[in-house]
Amino acid sequence: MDKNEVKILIVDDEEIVRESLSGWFVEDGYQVDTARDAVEALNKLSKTRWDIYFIDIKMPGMDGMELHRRIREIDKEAVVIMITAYAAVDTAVQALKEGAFDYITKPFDPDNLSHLVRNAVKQRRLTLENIGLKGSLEELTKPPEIIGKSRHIAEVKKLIGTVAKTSTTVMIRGESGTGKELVAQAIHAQSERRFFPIVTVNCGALTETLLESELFGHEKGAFTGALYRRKGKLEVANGGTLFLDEIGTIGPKTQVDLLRAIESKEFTRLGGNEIIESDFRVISATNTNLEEFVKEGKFREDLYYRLQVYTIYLKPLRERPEDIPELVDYFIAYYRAKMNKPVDGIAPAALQMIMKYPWKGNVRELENAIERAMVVTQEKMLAVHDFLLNHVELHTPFKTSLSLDDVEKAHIVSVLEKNNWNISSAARILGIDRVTIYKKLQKYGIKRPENA
Amino acid sequence: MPDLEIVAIHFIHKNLIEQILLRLRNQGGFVVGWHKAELDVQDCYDESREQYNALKILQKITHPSASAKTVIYTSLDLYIPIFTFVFGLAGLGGHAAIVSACRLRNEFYGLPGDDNILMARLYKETIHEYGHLRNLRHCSNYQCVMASSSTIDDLDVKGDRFCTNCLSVIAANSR
Repeated sequence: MDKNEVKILIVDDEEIVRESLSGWFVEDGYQVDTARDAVEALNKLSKTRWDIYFIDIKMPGMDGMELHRRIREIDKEAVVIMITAYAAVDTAVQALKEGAFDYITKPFDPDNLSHLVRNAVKQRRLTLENIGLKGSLEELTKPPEIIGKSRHIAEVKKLIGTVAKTSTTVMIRGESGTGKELVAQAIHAQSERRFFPIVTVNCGALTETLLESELFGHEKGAFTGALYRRKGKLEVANGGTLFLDEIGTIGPKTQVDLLRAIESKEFTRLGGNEIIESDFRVISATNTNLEEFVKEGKFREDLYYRLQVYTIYLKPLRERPEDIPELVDYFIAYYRAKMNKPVDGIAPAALQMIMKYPWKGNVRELENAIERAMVVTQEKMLAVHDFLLNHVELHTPFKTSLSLDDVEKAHIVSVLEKNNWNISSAARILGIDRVTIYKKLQKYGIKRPENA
Repeated sequence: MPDLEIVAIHFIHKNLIEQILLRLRNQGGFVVGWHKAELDVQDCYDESREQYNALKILQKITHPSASAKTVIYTSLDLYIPIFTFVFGLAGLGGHAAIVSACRLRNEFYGLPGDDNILMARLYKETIHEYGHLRNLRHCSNYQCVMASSSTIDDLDVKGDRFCTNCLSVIAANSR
């Protein structure tokens, strides 16, 4: 913020004060305007955002104190300097208590005024920088987008919103690829802990010893190869969230240690005696039947109940196909930007095929399928043949009740769809010439869909 | 026709006039004229402050020509209503400015008098106010004569010439 960008508004009922002060600021290179009373000042405030206000405390009508309060209601970051006579210093002090930046007594010592304005500009600059940085931080900690219009997704979003504000332990359950980590990130991003880290530990990917070290950290020499002291994820997550993925895979000893750490928020590093305190929130996720594990004694019941305080269940994608079109649009837009490839959408036939697919790998599998299709496609719309879904044939079985003509018609339509209604390509695959295929289309009344 | 007219009103340091005119001509490159004037400033006096209102004095000045700039030298202690004092005063792009030697003197700060220091300060103030008359604002270059100075130390620290930026603004304004 350069000097000539700083906007100063002088509010005083005495013309000589307004004129002299504005003249002095203009000579100093600031942008200045004046107002003879609070009403004029508020009108000017509604049109322009001022950086620094000089307000006379004693004015007819609304006084400077009231004007200061009104300005703070509109712009709580405004830098307000009260102008006062010696007699009104008490009032000026009251204004400071109410958030004014400073006050200055009439007549002003030029040097004091110079310092005051310099400090006010510095304060304003810092405030604006702070607002900018906060904005960037909010942008960085923005909750991840959970895509879907189904009632189930709406319910999940509601559950996330409810639990995010608390520090309650949450368990997210659902098949692999349903977006459990995304939900954990959304809870963290909407919580008061969002400016602290969310630390993910994939429990299934580590052996028990390594997992213990990963969670609790270790002291130098705690085990062979522990050459340096290392902080554990519980310690790193201090102030934030610890996301334990595949919680069902952790061994009995880690279960005991983890339960103690979750309950007391205290632990020691492996090979150490120092008690570490850490304030973390636990979100865990699993795709296994934990209840079975508890029954079989593979998972501690007390830990199970500690983790299962609030549960969010994510339905598999096949149970909510109405979310697929929006997910497809989202992934196409994402990969279009990432690959810089001008793909506008998906052909209806391809979307229909995708909607019927069981998606055992859920959203992750759908994303991979769209990414692959985006790579191979040469068209503006993703077509059936851009997808490599080995089930398609399985899902277009020919029933024994069909006639040969029915089978032929269905097969021709299928091949045409797969070839984006390119007659020459379809004819080549069917082993007939273009004239024959046209005759067949006429015979069976097959017409190319308008949007194909 | 001079481009800078110095007018002495209640100015007691007459011994400095010749030297400062010489410096304005030689160093400042001005075509300088000067005269002494009698002006009744009693109505500009504020008893409670024991100072003279610089704005009121300036309002009394008549301008010899539109092109010449007038700088009044006085030894009176000057103020404007919002400030406890001013070293000098000029309206941006105006015709007349006023400079007071009162607070430029070492004696004002309890130090032994020194005419050389007083002349250096008077010269800087003259050039500074002349700059305002030529539409220059305060300059952020502390070495430039147009740097703002609200204390005598500020005045001593800054240089006595326009920086290249300020010179180019004057040149642009003259076109």
